[in-house]
Amino acid sequence: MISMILVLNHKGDVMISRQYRDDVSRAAADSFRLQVIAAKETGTQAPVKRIENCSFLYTRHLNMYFVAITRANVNPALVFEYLFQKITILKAYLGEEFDDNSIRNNMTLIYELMDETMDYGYPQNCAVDVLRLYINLGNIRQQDEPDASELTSQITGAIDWRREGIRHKRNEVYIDVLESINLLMSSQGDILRMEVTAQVQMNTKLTGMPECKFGLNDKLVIEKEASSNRKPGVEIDDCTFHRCVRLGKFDADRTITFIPPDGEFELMRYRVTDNINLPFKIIPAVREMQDQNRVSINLKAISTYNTRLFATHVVIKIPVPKNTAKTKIKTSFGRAKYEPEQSAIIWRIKKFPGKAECMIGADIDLMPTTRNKAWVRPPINVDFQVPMFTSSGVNVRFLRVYDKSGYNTNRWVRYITKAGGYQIRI
Amino acid sequence: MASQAKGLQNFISDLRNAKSKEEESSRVERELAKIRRKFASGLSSKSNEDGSNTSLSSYQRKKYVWKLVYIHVLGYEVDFGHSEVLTLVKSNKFSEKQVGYVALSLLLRGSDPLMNSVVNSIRSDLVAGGASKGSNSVQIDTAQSLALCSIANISGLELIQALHVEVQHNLVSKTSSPNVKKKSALCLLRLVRTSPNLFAGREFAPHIAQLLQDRHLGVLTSTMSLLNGLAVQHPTEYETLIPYVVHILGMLVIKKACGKEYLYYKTPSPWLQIKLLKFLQLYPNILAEKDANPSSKASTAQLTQVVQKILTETDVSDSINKSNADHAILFEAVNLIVCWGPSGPTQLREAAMKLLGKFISVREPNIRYLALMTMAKLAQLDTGSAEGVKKHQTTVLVSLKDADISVRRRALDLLFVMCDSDNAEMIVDELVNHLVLADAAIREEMVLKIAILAEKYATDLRWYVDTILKLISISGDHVSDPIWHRVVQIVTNHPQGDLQAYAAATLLVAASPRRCHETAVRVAAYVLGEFGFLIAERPGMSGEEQFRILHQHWHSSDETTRAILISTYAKLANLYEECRPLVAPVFARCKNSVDVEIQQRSAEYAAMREAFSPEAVEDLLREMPPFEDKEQTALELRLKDKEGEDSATFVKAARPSVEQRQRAAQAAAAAREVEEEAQRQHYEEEGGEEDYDEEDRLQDLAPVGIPKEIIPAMRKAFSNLCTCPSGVLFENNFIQIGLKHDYQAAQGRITVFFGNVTSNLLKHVRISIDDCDHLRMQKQGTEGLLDDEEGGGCSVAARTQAKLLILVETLAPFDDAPAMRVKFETTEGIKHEYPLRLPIVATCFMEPVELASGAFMQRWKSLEGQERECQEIVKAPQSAPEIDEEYMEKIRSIITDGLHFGHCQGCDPTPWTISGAATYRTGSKDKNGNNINVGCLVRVEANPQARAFRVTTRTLHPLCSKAVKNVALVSIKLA
Repeated sequence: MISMILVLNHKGDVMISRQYRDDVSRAAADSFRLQVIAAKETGTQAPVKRIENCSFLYTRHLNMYFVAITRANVNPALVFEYLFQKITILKAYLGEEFDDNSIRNNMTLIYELMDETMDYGYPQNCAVDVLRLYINLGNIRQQDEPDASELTSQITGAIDWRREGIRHKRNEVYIDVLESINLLMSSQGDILRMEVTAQVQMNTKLTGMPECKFGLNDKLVIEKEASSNRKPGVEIDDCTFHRCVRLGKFDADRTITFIPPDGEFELMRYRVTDNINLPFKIIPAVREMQDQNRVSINLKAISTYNTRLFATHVVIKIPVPKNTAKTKIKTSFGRAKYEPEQSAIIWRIKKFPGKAECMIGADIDLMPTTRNKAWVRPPINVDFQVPMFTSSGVNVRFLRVYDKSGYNTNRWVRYITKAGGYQIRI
Repeated sequence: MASQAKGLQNFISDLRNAKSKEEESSRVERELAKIRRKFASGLSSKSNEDGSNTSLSSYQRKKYVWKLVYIHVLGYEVDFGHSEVLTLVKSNKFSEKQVGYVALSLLLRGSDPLMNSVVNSIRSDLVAGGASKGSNSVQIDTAQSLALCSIANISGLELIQALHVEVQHNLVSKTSSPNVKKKSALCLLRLVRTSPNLFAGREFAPHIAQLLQDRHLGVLTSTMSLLNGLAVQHPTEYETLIPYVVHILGMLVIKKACGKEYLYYKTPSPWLQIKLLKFLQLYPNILAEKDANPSSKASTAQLTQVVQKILTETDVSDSINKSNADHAILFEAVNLIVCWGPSGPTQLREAAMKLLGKFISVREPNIRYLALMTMAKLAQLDTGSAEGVKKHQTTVLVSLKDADISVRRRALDLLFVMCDSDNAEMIVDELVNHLVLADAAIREEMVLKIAILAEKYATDLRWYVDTILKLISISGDHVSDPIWHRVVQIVTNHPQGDLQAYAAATLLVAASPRRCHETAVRVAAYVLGEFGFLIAERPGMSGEEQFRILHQHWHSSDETTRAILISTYAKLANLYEECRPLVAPVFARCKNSVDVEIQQRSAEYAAMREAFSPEAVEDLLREMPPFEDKEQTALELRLKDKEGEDSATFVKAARPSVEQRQRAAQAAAAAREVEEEAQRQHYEEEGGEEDYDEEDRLQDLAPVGIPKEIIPAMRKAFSNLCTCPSGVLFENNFIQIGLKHDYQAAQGRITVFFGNVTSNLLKHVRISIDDCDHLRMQKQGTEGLLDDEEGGGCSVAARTQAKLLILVETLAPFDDAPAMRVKFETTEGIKHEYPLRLPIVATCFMEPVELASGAFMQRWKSLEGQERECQEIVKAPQSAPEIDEEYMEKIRSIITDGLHFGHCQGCDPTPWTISGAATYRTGSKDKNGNNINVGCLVRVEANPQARAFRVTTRTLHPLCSKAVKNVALVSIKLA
């Protein structure tokens, strides 16, 4: 298990170090500083490094390194999940953009959190909501000190993610359906891989211990209801839920019921592979001239979604050979530029309306090289965001909230489709 | 340059300040893109014919090329800009040329396709010197030097081919300045290293001789570097140059003729001197040659004089630089003396030894280190010098306590080398005493060396046992397994005297204390198990007592030790009735041990008494037979691992000492008589069988018509042909039958010639060959030759030949040779009929297989079994020389060339074993349509004492085994 957690600044100086087991020494920080930070290895190499039988697993927040050190054969996914959770907790306590100064100023708080979230190298309760019950320093202020016995039953009880007696003036629920679409298309236009992975994020501000029921246009549910006037549902391939969801009930009749934690959480994830609407069609034409010294690229991007919608932050990355000397680019829309760091032409369009067509043409002069090497032709990468559009066709049918007091709840639903790996081979 | 290019400086500092690798590489990518753009901006309109951009200013071009060089040096790939580099190279300005050549030698590799265009511009710079030697000669010199440097740096094959003539020309030419000559020599050295056979040494030697007469010491130094490089490859071709070298050496050492700029702290050009001495070390025999002509005699006389002078003149001086230079020369001279060995003059060796003796006591550790090392080499020479070394023994012992561990190591080496029968006891004692204080880093080495010395020079083996025991008690962790195994071997192998009893008693005492080292327990356990009975009568050493002493260590010992202990207990229990109740519970408990070895041993020992008769048990638990004495002991192998084969210490360790030889002789003499008797009987039996076999074969081959007296020759010819591609099969006064055969996998092509050696016609020559199942044959011959009718056949005129061609394919393994009948009639009407055999045997169809040792042993083991193995012992022929390495080499060539087996290197444990592997290819198909092949393995083991070989073959097919064995036997017999 984890033997030690370190927080280092960008120079590799130790800011926080907490030892959970005594099988590594503090000198380990030095070897990490010398072999990883000083070697400028971060960002290019794997975030796991083994030095003298010690594994260093690290991640970065701004310019700070969160390093977990272990001698055991741990599950790296667990260690990283812990490190990410740790950063989330610190964000909640110290503010989104906490830096080395705020770390330095809140030493005691951080050590307290270190003690609370891990014991003898094993991760413990990492829910901010619960932690703030008994650790209240930093940004988080507790109104009333809870009773000690209440605290114990809370932490050890059946619903440890929500405490009783929460009150909100206005009862509101925000639901975000975030879909990311992965696509790999061959140069002939055949689809090699296509899927949508999505997550449903919730932010609840509800009083008491409400029972919620949530419904999507899942094909199985719709067929069961068998009302003929409805559109056919979406076939969801697999899904996972937050631990507050009652799985027994879901298995029995595929209804999603839960008592939500207070604040933000991820309710579920799902994956869809059939009947996906691609938001963009990309048609590239790449020609390498006979004399090897010129390449011309023409590319057409067509948006397929409704005219009322528009995509934002569209970035199309068109790779060019490494020995590109000069580029001549013409675009009908947006801005395009050759960026040698990525060895690609980056075409940026801030707002891409629905059912529209955009063109880009580029003539590229190449530098003759000493050793002739064929261009490997990496794929074109596309990045975008389309709000209020789901490429899988999923939508939220209902969210019902039942509470003893029977208050009214405001519900807000938002959809976004993003590009995951949206690649077209050329 | 720094002031010239601000942009370059900024770029470098940007990269230095980059925080992460990504940042650095993105900065580099951006810069590369910018340079590409700059270089390309005139690509379409205003470019030269070679593609470089004319619109760039000289400053810009230089700046960008410097940046490219810097990026390349950082490890990024730069594969453009060569045309700009070429433009710079072609430029007349020095600053541009310099950048150009630096970039050229860094950015280009010898294998790049555009080398052609580079070659021309380099050549023009190279030959410029010859063309015009005017006012700008300095410039031309620098250009030439730059060109030479980059040739040396790139040194691609194509470049070498194209330019080595020019480089040589520059080197030899009278017009070249000394500077250019120096560079050319070094450049040529580099070229010769990459392609060693650039030119013939014999032709080039005179050029070098000419260069060696140059007065410029710099040229001489470079030339000597070149010469050393060349002469290492082909020493004989440069032997003629020795007088020149000696002459130069004489000039430097005796006359001290040396320019001021080459005086290094008053020493005339020490570098050159060292190179000269190094060259001379390549010829260790120059002093030994008696038949030398007067001129070379003069030079050898001068050489000894020079060396003498070096030895006498060098002294420890105050100036550290001066003394460094002088000592470097001195040590090189001593190396030369060592190199000459016993053939060199004795007084030189003595003088050197005296001098080194002085140096090993100086303060300067570097000198001490070198002195110790060189002294070890010198001491290694057989004659007399060892005596000289001994005088310094005390000094060396002091060095053993030096603060510097490398000096201590050398001192240890030297002590090891100078040890002999007289001082062994003292040195070993001294080393053992020192071991207590020694550093952990050197301990293991010390222990190993002490163990070897103690074994080598023990006049009394009891002393040896004591010494090793001391080693264990002082530094048990460093006593490796081979060391204590060796103790056991020696004790077991020397039943004479009371060594075994002594060892048992000493070890019992050593194991008595509650705490003692585990290794001690192991040795004690083993030796007591074997020889405990010798001391059981002594007070306090009864069997029960022995058990008690050993068993107290049971709980603190590990699995290996426990396994040994269990065996010992079994032996004790067997000997002493009273031990049995003590041992039984131990066995009972160990039957459930986690360790398989211990579990098995205890279970077997416990069950032994019930399962077997008392005699059998007695037999099983009797003491071990003496160990086989190996050529190299495990200890020496270990030393070899550590220090390499040619270190002085290893050479020393590998040579048996007088004591060892005596001991071996004693031990062997006793054992040999019994053994030899047994062996003789054994071989006689074997031999008898062998003779019978031959008789059998003889009858096959010797029919009516062939005179008895030529049968042995004929048999020999047949056997020879089994392993040779061509030869004479049969010969008498009438006919000579020659044969040529070659094979490809399962198929063979045999051509038989029937030559008429009489002066008359031979009539009715007819050949018939029996068909057999395992061979498919196609025959084609001179007309009539294959007729079978009486009176048919062809006629062969005097001194002519008839020819028969046979194509053969093997279908299955076989172990006999096809029969051939030759019939003819002389003019006198006498009919002759010779039944012969064609030398088509199974090994003809072998295809060699290269097997790694592991694979060989695996297959070897998998082919065990009655059917598949054939084994026979053959004695070496009476006339054959002693079985030595050379003889084994001959056997090896029989296996590989004659039998067509692949020699399996590495699986032979001793030089007396040869292993081979091959595949027997047949033309028949299995049900999948693949050809059927049979894997064959062969092993020849020699017994040099008995002058006999044991041939073992293992194949998948019994006939194959037999056939291979037969051919191998016969060939070895004929070898």
